[in-house]
Amino acid sequence: MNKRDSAHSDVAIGGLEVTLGDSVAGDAPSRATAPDPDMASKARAPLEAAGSKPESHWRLVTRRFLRSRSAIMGALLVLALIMSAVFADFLSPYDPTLRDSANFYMPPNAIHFVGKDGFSPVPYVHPLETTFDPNTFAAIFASDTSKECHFQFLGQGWRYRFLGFEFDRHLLTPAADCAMNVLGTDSLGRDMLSRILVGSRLTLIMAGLVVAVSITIGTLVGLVSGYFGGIVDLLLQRVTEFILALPELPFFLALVAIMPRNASPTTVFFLLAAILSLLKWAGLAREVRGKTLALSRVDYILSAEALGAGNARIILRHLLPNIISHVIVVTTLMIPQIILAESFLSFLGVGVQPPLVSWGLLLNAAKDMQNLGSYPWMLMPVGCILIAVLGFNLFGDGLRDAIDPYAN
Amino acid sequence: MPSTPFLEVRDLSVDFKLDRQRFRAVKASSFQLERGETLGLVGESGSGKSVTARAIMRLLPATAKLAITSEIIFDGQELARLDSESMRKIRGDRISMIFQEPMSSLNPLYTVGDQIAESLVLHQSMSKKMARKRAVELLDEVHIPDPEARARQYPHQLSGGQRQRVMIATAIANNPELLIADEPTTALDVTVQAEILKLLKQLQEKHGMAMIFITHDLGVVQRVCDRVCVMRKGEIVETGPTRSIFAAPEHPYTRQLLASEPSGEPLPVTQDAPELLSAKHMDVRFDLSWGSIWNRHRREIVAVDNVELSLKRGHTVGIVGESGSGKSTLGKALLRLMSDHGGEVTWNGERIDGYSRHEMLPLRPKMQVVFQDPFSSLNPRMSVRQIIEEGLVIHRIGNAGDRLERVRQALADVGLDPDCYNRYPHEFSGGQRQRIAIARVLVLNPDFVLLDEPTSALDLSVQAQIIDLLRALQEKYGLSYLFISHDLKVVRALCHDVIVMRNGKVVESGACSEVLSAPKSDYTRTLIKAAF
Repeated sequence: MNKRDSAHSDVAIGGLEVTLGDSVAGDAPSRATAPDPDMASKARAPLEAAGSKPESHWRLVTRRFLRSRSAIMGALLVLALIMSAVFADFLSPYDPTLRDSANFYMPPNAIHFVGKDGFSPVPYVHPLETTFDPNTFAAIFASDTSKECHFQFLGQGWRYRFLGFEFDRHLLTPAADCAMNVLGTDSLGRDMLSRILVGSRLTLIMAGLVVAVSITIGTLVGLVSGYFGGIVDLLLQRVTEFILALPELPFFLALVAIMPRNASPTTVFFLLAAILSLLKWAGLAREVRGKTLALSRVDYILSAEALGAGNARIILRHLLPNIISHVIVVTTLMIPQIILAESFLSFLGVGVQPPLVSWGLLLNAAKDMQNLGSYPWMLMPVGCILIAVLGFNLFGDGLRDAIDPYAN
Repeated sequence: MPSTPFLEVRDLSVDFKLDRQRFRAVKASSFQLERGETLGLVGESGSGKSVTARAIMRLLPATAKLAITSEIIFDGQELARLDSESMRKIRGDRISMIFQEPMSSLNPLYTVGDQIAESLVLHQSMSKKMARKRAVELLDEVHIPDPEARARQYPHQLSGGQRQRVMIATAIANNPELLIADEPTTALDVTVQAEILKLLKQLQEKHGMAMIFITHDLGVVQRVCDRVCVMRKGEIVETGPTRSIFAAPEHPYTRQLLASEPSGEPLPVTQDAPELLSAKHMDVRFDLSWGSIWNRHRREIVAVDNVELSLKRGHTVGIVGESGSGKSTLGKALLRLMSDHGGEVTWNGERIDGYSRHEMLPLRPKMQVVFQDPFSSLNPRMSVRQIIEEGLVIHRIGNAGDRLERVRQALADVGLDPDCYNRYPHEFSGGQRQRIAIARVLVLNPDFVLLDEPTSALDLSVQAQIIDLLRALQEKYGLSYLFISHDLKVVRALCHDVIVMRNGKVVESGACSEVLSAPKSDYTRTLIKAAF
């Protein structure tokens, strides 16, 4: 008995490598006559053959994730987005609130790297000359190619606070005597590039806040509902259904309408986040409940009960870790939804209020036909929303594909 | 006498594409089959026997590839390189197949009659009406009572055995020359299994079919097959007539396989050991209700009906029964994992029925359970150490250092490397996982362990090892077992007393050796006949 078992335990560790060796070399003479180890079932063979080092669940997921090109692209986009939101002040050439009555509705100004003095890594622009069409009085912009306005790398510009410290250095600082608006300006002459960069912050904070709150509520409600069942489940499910049945858009408009007129923009922002969170958790709660119901019947939950584990332990140690991967996927796929909802509401003028800046609010300026026709660059934030939504979706899809094949 | 065999498989190799590399599931296997002959493909899980069968049917999954050198010659025709349209015509017509799970291989949305008729319409271009009539005849041929009415029923209305009969009827509908049966009786109860095997044998003689019979069960092979191929890790290690292979196996693996039938005797015990666990008048009922508020239906199902049981310290009591006999439910009720039951449960002289979850807590370490399926009984997100240590953490036993020491001791006790505690369950095979599940129980020093079919999901050789392990642990720690099983061979090797259950009632009980050698009830006799 003992001898057999010790032989067996060697195989317990070595067996993984043996499987690998078998499949590569095609023969395993040393094992051919040895007692057969517990053979893994066919479904498990790929996982065991994949490596001999212990691999935790997240290592496996990472490996699968990194194999998908679109997922990596999504991850890079998301990362770039977050970095640019965090360092928005540093990246902005102009103060996003600075008005310039001489330069309103300026079109985007192309940047150049090769000029009179040859190639320079810091770009420059040709200043725009404004003339008016004598008949229609439409503004005509022409680049004055004789002049070059150079950005200054890490130069001093407008002052901003970051992490409690005051800074005035920027990646690219414009020359003081020259309008250097790479993405143009808005109706008050504010720099669009700077506003888009700073606006991404609110948009992402809103998405993060709403997702964090609704995921927490949704997961908790789903777990409790699915695990306890009975009357608790019945009540929580009716509440969930009620929330799901609320017509979202009229509900938003009504809620915003009853908001006091003199409420500060920050209050409006947090109220909007609260309303969005309140409406978004229900879908996830249903999904988590379904997963929990299925998991509660699995033997390891019963084993834990037989060990004497309490409810809290079963929920937190056994159910939650097995559901969390699903929740993470839902999170990444929910962020673009919130970005779109925020943009949409702000575009309608019921979301984020000025002087705060968000992408939706920036689009608000492009809402009438005349503006749209004359100043199409005001639609630039749409491109940003597109990229952000695409990035998060690619990332979320990649994550789901990485997590799902390893279902048990 | 033609020199070419009816079916010849030469150098069959199948590669599976995996994450990083190829995995050769079948390695250059060759065998042949004559008309009317039954060939058994025997092996444990992962040996490539099902893949071989699927390769002959050309039903391999998209990730699998037949090697270029493989030849499958069926009645003079090369199947390996046949175009898919011609292959489709052969499949279900000249070669047909029966699968293990009769439920998942029948479409739940069509009546069984329609499903049999479908293959007739497809291959014999029969009219629908004719095909339905023929379907009824076929159902009669596979001995389904009242075939007219059954043909109009849906798969879920039939029992497992009847479903498998329907599958067989579908398979023989076009009078195939070759029938491939992939573990056709594994999912069935032993008594049903015996009937299905008898039916297959009858049909084979009547229609003169050749048959490839895939199984892991040596008893079945002995009963059905003329010749056997023993497979191991994708290779055929031994081929020969059934009788000579069983009488004089040549390859060491075959010898090992034959020797791994559960064997040995239960440990010697004294009859005056104190009683540890007893139950009187145990009842478990389930209330089922369905339908709308206005049209409510209720039915009460009696899962366990007035069962008495007594387990002495250091003894093993076996509970034997087929699926649905209420044996697992009884086990869960005894352990108070199911609170609503009637009757008295006494533990160590203390009445524990009616105890709340909180009151049960101090008793939990002493009474433990090991479940059937080692793949679902270990939390995939916890490391082996976390899994085994959990009971100690819950009952606040020892500090972190002590606990790790006890985890390592438990791992050594169940024959695993004590240093593997940082690994995760998916890295272990079925038998190793079951050892981990036993270690989780052992670490608490229990007096009593409920073993709910702990070997049923495992391969034969592994099963024997686990039984040896359980016996050794019983000797070392004086454990008492309640052993739930449908397999009388396993029960004979481990149990002192046995209770035979059917439909929630005790049919027979007594000392294991007496019940097995001189059964009193007809049902027990049937079980014994089917098992040995």
